[in-house]
Amino acid sequence: MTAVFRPGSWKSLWSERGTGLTLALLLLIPALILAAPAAAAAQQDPPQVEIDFQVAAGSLFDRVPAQRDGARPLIIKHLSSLGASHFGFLRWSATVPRAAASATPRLTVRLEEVPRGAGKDKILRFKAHVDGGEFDLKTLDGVVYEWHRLDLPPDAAGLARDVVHELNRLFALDNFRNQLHERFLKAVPLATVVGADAQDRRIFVPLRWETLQADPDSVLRVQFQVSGATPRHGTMKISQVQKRSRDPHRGGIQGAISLLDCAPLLLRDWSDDVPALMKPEGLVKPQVFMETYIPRGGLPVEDGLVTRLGGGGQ
Amino acid sequence: VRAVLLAALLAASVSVAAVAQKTGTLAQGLEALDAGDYARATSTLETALATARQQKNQSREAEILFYLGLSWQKSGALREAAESYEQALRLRTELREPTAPILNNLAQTYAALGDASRADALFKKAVESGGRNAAVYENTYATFLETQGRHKEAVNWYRRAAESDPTNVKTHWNAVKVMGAMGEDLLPYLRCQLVSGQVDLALESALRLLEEGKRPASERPGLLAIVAAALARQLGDPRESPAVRRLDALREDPAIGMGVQELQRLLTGDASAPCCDWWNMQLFGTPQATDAYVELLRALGRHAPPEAAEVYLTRALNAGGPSPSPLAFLDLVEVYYATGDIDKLNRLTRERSPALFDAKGQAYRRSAWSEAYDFHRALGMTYAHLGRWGDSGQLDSAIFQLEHARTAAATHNRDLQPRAEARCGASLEREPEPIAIEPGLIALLAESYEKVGRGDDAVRARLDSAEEYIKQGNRSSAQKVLAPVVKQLKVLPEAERLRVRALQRQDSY
Repeated sequence: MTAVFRPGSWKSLWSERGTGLTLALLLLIPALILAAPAAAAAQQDPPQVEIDFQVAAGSLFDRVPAQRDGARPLIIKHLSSLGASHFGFLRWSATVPRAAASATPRLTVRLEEVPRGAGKDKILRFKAHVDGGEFDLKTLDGVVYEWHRLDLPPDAAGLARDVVHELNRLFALDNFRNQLHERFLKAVPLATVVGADAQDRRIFVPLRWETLQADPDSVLRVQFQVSGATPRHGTMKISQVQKRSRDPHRGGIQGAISLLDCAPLLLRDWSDDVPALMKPEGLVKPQVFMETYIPRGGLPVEDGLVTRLGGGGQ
Repeated sequence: VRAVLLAALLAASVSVAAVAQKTGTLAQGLEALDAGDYARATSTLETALATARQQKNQSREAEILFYLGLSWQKSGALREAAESYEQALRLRTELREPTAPILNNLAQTYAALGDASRADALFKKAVESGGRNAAVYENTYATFLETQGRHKEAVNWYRRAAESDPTNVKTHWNAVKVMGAMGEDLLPYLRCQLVSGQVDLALESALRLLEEGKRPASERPGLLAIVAAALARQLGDPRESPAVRRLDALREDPAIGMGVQELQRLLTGDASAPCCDWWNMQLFGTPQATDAYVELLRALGRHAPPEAAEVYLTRALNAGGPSPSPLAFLDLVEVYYATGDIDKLNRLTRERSPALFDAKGQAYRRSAWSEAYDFHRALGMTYAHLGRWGDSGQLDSAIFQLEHARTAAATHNRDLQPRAEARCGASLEREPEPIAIEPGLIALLAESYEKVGRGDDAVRARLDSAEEYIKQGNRSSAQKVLAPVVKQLKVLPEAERLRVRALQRQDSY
């Protein structure tokens, strides 16, 4: 005899013979729990940076404003992928329209006109929004159309292509990437929790190692206040950043102190004073930033050995 | 039916649990590996391997064998590691799955076992099949060669790794370290970095090498030229670079101190501060230094108000000796044009055009078509700004110069040699690449024809250029030059109309 499933079969099984199914589900649940990574809950993915693209070069699209709207999603998508490939320690996504101002860090790229020669250059200007402030990153300007260039894009695809071309050129320059990091991305807080492990003599941060994509030579900066009769401000730099294997529910990454400045304490290494200083109840507003970012290569390599097989690559 | 369903559901749940357990075994093995607990890693991975074999899942088997090899290797059991890797390699080769990571680790194992020749062969295979991760394998191979005392080869592979992945800072510093230790000439390598857009890396490297004071006096002017060119290529005003302060430490350097002081005067003083004998003298020994100096002056000019820009750019024009820079000339033309100072523009053109024409002639004699193009372009745009449209036979006219710019570009592109293995290093410029004439230049030429009543030639220039762009796969530029012709399609003669339609029909358009 062959069991035939008909619409409604599952419904009747639920209602009529609940006991057997409950047993089966009870068996399924532990199986699913076994399959889930044990320490996922405590670790966070990197924070998000929103991207927007705006056209402020009015004369460019006076006659065909639809071109601007057509090009926007293409440009934002490309910018997201450039951001992710060069600054993987952040998640890059399109700006979500909101009624109120958002605290999410944002990078806005505007196509603007600036006077030059006997006309106007059409340039890409980067604006950063972080920590409630907004500022121009003027030195990162890239020229899309020089003032004496007489031909402008005939359609949205043409505009997107020209902007993408300039974005690619800029991101290929280390000076651009370094300035973008120095003047904006290093001000984006990655985490607001930090702790000290006396046994390992390491500082841990609950960020997911796999998504942080930072090479161990990267440096994290922690800014914090210590409560007490006289509240103190402190800064700490963490180097030798690596995956935290032991006790992973406390944090996905760990690192060694390369500098701790919290007067009167000034350290360039671990000290037994650190765990007391880093006690969660005494710390106020700790914030972790990416001070120096060295992207991890496509493949994890330690001492010349490949330690993980990549997905479809080599 | 209900009983069968229930049994099936139970079986499914047990099966899910079992799969989860097996996946967990590999995951647990990896976790133990990461934690440095190699005994636990090996035992859990062996369990996972048995399961994979039972399930005849060869892809998973190869994967587990790889990690098993890694676990053996890290625990110092090199023979067992080699055996696991060899098995993984055989399986992945049969399955046509990527083998480069296994080849790399197996090579490391044989190197540790003292079998250098086998390691060498495996490293080479890893590099060949490394795909998008080639730089990783080139780097590990270079390190192996370095430990074998094969420094010269190590340098080459570090260089290749840095070229494969220019953004990899660590590979770059490895290359600099080994080349420095070997006393290799670092300049070609650093010029490559500069050309590939790694401006900060080149700047930092050149400054560090100068600060360390270990490089020979003959190399130091070249390193200072890299500093100047890198400062010029910063986004934003070069004067604001943090590197400017570091020049202080080099002021008394016997080989370059004078050049450093002149550089500081340019970067921190006003535009008219006395300057720059040392840099002008370099034309005879280190021509790249003069090029870098001109580039820096142009960058300063871009970020200065018109009066100061005029001074910087005049200096840039004077710096090239008998052969002035056409790019600096055009920059200065645009400063005058922007400020509406047509008298100065006329005077500049009158005074500088003999030297420009002479240098252009020399470029022709050397068949340096790219240089010739730059001169024609600069002169053509200048004459267009001055409204000297002229004709095809009049040297000092927009039409003559812009027509010849097109010819020079076409000749350059036709004669271009295939890219050599060594891609850069001789100069601060990119190796010759095809010249892509900007659509603006074609538009300017067409406008010049129209101004003198040669509308047919204007249309022809646009159509010819559109065809060229389509041949090059440059759809965007083709559309741009063709757009004005499409607008006047109805009034065009039949032949031109047919050409436009043919262009529009082409898929690439």
